[in-house]
Amino acid sequence: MRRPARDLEPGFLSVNAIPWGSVYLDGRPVGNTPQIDLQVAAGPHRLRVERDGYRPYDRVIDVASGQRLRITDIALAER
Amino acid sequence: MARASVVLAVSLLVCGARVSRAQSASELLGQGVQAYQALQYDAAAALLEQSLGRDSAAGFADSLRARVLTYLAATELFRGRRDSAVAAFRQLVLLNPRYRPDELIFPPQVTNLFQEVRRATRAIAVVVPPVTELRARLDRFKARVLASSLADVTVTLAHEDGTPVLQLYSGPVADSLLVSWDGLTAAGTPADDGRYLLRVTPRSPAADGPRARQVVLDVKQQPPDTLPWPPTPALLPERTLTGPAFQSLAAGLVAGAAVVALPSLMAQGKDATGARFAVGAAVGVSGLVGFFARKPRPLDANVRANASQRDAWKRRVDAVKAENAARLRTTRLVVRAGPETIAERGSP
Repeated sequence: MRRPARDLEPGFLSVNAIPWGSVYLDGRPVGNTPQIDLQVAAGPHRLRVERDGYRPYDRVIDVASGQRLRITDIALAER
Repeated sequence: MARASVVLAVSLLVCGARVSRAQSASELLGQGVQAYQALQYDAAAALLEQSLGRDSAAGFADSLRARVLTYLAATELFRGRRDSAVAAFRQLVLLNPRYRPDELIFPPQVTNLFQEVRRATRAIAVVVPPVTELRARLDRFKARVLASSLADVTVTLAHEDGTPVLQLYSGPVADSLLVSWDGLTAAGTPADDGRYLLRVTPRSPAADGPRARQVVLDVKQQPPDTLPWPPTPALLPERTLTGPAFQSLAAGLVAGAAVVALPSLMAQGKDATGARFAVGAAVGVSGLVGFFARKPRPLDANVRANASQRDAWKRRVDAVKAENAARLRTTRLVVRAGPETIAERGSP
């Protein structure tokens, strides 16, 4: 039987991009890249990396409980 | 022959080893950058440190060394080793006071730390072209003095043994400064062949101040290229030909002689009469008359044309003479620069 989400262990998210950009998780700013082992609740999240003059990276990611998810190959393209 | 082959083989091996070591240093840098990007900071630091180690043996270009140091500093910062990051940035500033990390790649936490270190690290550097050819007094040898922060410096040129030749600049350098030298000594004469030191020294040396930098300059005078003389012009004949006059003279003399001699040869025993001598003399005289009548005469049109050609040629010769004299008066110098080094205190 699947445990309720609030009882699940969090996951960890690391993000890096070239060029560096501002990271938003579920619309909330969390700082610039690189972000290392950002603690996130297990489940789906909206990850956005943006920088002026560049097309933003915008994805929905799914972080499993206890997972260390690394997204380090983000390349922002110029507008 | 065998000895030469051995020397050649050893040289090739040494060169090959240098090249492969240089490649290895570049490869390590590339792998270190990849690891940095993948947030594998421990691996990145190890690779970049290795790259620096190979770098000193293989002779990396300063630009690549600066790149390694920048990534190393950023790596150390992100793995929580701020002091190591500061140390790497300090090396970077000393290497090239004008270097700036790429603000597209490195986030503000990295570039801000770099600026902090740059302000605290007082460094100067001098950059010169590897080879400069100049005409003493007319052209300039140019050196760029760089400073990480405002510095008071003196730029001097000295002989290798430290004997001063010339002071090129004394004053502040805010960011960079172009210093030029016209190839002359303080006495106003072109620098002799030899080895010189271009040195940038802080005016108020302090323990924590920037260290003096110097570049060895090999100066060689070169004989100037002179222009060749202009070719002599093709002139027109200034007199008519002498051939027809001599032909008339020869014909008259031969015919006169024939008048006298031929009858005696054809009719043996017959003496020459006075009349034959008279005819022979007349024919000879007619030859003389022909000679004088057809003697060479000046061709005035050609004389005038040649005079103008000669004048033009003389003017060209004078111009070449003047240009060559000017070139011979101007000494050409070839200045070859060695690598920039730190001038140790107390060195000549």
